[in-house]
Amino acid sequence: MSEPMLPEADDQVRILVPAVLIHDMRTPLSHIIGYSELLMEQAQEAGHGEYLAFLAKIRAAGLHLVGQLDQNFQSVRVADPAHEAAAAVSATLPHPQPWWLADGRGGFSLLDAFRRAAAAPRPSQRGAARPGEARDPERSSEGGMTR
Amino acid sequence: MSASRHAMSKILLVEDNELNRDMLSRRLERRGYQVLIAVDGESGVAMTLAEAPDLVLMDMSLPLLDGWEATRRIKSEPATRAIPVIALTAHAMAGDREKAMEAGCDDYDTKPIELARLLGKIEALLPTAREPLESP
Repeated sequence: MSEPMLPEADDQVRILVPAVLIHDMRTPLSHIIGYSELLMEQAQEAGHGEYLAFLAKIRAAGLHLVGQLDQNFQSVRVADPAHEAAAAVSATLPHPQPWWLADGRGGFSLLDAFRRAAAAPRPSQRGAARPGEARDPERSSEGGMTR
Repeated sequence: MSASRHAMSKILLVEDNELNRDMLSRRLERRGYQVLIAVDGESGVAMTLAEAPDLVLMDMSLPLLDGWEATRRIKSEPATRAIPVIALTAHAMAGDREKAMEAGCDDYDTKPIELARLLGKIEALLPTAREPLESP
């Protein structure tokens, strides 16, 4: 038996979540990396070489996180045929708000997207409800988690 | 800190994020650039017209008027169309670069900024007429 197709809304969430997540994570990481590099320059000029190793660790941690982000979303960024749609959708967001500030006044809420994605039936879930069908109450009570 | 070949060139940074503005403007000023600031797309277009910067660094996700439309307006105005625009974005999604170039941007870079790479792009696009000023 063929697996059920993902609902359109769920597919949109699948596209939007990485697009917004990449933007919202790269912005503060940009601050961490940029300010640590700025402080490294200033510390070196001021003869405070003892701070350089610590600042270099902060910078390296930021770069590591950027690498992790890129690696985890590589499929969306490069190989996924939906990547163009993701770029187009993310570009239409009027002014993406950080998800922790999203308040339902028109800004896209990443938190809401995660909730929808977590609640949406996945093809791999045995007995997952098709759109419009009631879900197994025992599974629903656990928020989709198996015991 | 060594000054840029184009030191004292005027760069307009259009960026709504306060920390990005502060961090990038400090780093550019340390290299001798004069940095002007606009915090949204509309004021970015207006300042480009009023100040005639040598180059614009344009964030794409901006309030009021996004970076793509702001760039289109700058490039459609005879007085400002020759001013190079470098798109900056934290989206880093496939297709973003092409979209920025279609809007009229002269180059594209992603956040987090790799400063040496961005400086290379700035230096490549700044008007060569400024170069004799740097000669002894």
